[in-house]
Amino acid sequence: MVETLLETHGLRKHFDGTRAVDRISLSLARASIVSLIGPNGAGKTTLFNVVTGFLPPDSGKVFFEGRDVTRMAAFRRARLGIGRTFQEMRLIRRLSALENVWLALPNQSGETVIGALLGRHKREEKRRRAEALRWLKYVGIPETANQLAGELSYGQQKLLSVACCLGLGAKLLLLDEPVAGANPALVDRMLELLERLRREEGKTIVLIEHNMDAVMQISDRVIVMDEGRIIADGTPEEVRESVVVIEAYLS
Amino acid sequence: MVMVYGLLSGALYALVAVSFLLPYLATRFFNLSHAALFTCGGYIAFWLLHALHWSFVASIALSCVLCGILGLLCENVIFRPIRRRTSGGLAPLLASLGLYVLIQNLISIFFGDDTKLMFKNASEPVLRIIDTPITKTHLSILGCTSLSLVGIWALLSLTRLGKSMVCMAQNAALAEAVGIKATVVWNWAFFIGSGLCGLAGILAGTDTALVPTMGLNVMMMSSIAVILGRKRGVLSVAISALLLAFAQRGGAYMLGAQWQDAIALVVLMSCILFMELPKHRLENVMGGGDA
Amino acid sequence: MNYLCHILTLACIFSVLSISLNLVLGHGGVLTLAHAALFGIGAYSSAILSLHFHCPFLLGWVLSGVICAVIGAVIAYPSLRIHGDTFVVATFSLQVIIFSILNNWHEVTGGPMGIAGIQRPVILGWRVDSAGEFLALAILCVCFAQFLAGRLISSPFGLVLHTIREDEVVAEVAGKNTLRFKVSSFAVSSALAGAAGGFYAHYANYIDPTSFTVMESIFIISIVVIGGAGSLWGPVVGAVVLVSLPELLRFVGMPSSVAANIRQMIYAGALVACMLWRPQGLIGEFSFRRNENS
Repeated sequence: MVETLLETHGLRKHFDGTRAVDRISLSLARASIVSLIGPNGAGKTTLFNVVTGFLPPDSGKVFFEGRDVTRMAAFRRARLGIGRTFQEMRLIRRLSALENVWLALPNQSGETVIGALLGRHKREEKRRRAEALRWLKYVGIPETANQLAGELSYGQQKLLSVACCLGLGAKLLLLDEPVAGANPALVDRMLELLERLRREEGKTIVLIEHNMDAVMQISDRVIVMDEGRIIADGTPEEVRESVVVIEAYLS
Repeated sequence: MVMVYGLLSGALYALVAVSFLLPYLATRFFNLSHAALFTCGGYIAFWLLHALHWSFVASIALSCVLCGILGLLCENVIFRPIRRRTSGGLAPLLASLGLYVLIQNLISIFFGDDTKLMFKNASEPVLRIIDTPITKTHLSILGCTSLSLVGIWALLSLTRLGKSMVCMAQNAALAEAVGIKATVVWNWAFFIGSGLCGLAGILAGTDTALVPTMGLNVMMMSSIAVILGRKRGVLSVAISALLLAFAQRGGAYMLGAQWQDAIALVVLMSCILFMELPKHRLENVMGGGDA
Repeated sequence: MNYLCHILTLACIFSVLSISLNLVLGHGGVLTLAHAALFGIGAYSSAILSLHFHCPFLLGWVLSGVICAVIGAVIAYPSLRIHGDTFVVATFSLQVIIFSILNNWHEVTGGPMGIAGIQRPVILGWRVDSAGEFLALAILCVCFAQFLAGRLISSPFGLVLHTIREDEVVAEVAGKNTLRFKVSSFAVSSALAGAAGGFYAHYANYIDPTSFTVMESIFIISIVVIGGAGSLWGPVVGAVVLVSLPELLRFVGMPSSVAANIRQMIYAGALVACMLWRPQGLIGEFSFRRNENS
């Protein structure tokens, strides 16, 4: 089994002259929690977009489990096991929480025209429902199963987003500000969940976060970005002491 | 000959396309009922000229103003409330379809479906270029459209109003923050755009005849021109319109007049597909990201 | 009685057309102006197959559906990568191109004269002849189309289609090949439109290009929207209402010269009014309020 889950080599992306992502090369191991921090505009979300396939890089490569996915479409990367959440919380409000997770479940025979018309999915329905419910339970919101996603509380929606990634079967979770604007209780719940995911399921999690306490508490590794480049990369303690980082935040 | 007639229809398409661009810039709304204003302009001028016996110039002026007002009304009474109440852009588009059909039929009812001529006598040829007769009408059409296009360019580059329009097209929120009043800009954009479209209709009516369905064809050509050129500005829209017209005339010349629309469209559809394809679609959706 | 059958049969034909358009527009959230063109291709294919190739009706009918499905898929594949306005304009162009072909390719389509003398359909020995028999067949068609659409929508395919409509990015992040979903729904929609065309050709005995213009596309769009885009029975309700309403004009004594205009104004006006005051249509729920992101 390939030990390095994700690798990038010299990724570059610029918009109208500014270098949003400037020669980023990094590699992520399995079963670890990495925090990606840095001032606004540092290029963190852009990096996520490039890795997940929503933005093509100007140059550089991305490898997932040893495969070159640089040219691969976003949905294919999702199928390979790269899951993500968004800063602005993308859920289908009209559907129930259960349906949102159900959506992410892979290999559904009812998703082709023929399969749908022949009703093949009916046999799997019970199993799928149970599977989706399982993930809702895992993240701690089983009671919301039949509620519309649009009606859930902020915290429940955040947890639901993670449940969707799990339903997908993601091995790598890219979470964009998973505890932004959350009350302390939610922050604890989320951190606990992430820790469990790493420990029990062997997931690799990358968080973009501004909440320094959370970052320090949970991360195995912290990567600091500024103006598109990585300026520090190490354990939380190492990064905290780093002069470079302090300067970047102060300037 | 292809060149000359191509230039003529190109000029008209360009004017319509650019007039379409103005409200589009302001509101990002693809207004398919714009075509109706083209037809309206022609018929109102016709009516003023023949029923009320006004002078031609006065007819043109009033017709344009009326078209401008009509366009403005549509935006305020119909499109803006719809935009407020729904999201996703599909609803105003559907409404504009309905509006187009409504207006075309109203014109059909009031004026009849037969073709009408703006002037009883055909215009006299004034020049000959490579044995293609060019009449005074043709010259005035070219003159008017060029003037209008220059005028629009001047509006967008030189005046405060015009610059606001461009600004709003790129980033509406920022524009508001800087103090540009959105509704005022929108209103002007619709007024001027609609008025110019009416002018184009009048000009077209003087050269060929007036038919209630004349807006449809023009609308299609112009909307393609807008799509091809909107990312790069007014000039590119106008040029696209011209190229379109040339393709159309060229096709007519080579394969016969009845195929001219199809040829032009096939050529331009391929252009669209080749141009839009490489652009990564999610740049629209994701907007590049920030953090 | 015959007249009533005729109106109802027309309503059925337009029901099938709107059920199929609803798949793309109501459930998929994609506006296409080319539906009448596909209707036309179905009609002409079916007519040509039975007249020139002496194809038995049923076979020709199915073939024309398949032809339309293929054409629909071929059109959709490159076009669905472009979004929004561009796609609408592209379908607009397509509609005009196809109309142009139907109107000008004299050798095959008869040009503006159209095709006449299309035989009555014979299905497995049953010669469909009277108004009542046609109506029965038409109702069967509607049931079939509704069954097909209903099955698709209530399956995972439908779930993904709805998701794409609401927020395509979510579908992609969930690992769905959104292009495939859009193209297949377009293909199914085209096949049904083609089938409606085939029926129409054999019902009316005579077809010409004027039945397949962009105005007809807009009419079908109006039916879907006014009935209730994205709902199950909305398209049928819309078809019945919008086909029969203008017929009432006859009894009011409208001069025939403006009847056609008034008919168009009715549905166009209803469309605008609908968008202003009741975007979800008569019985729909999807009111074009897209997923708002926080």
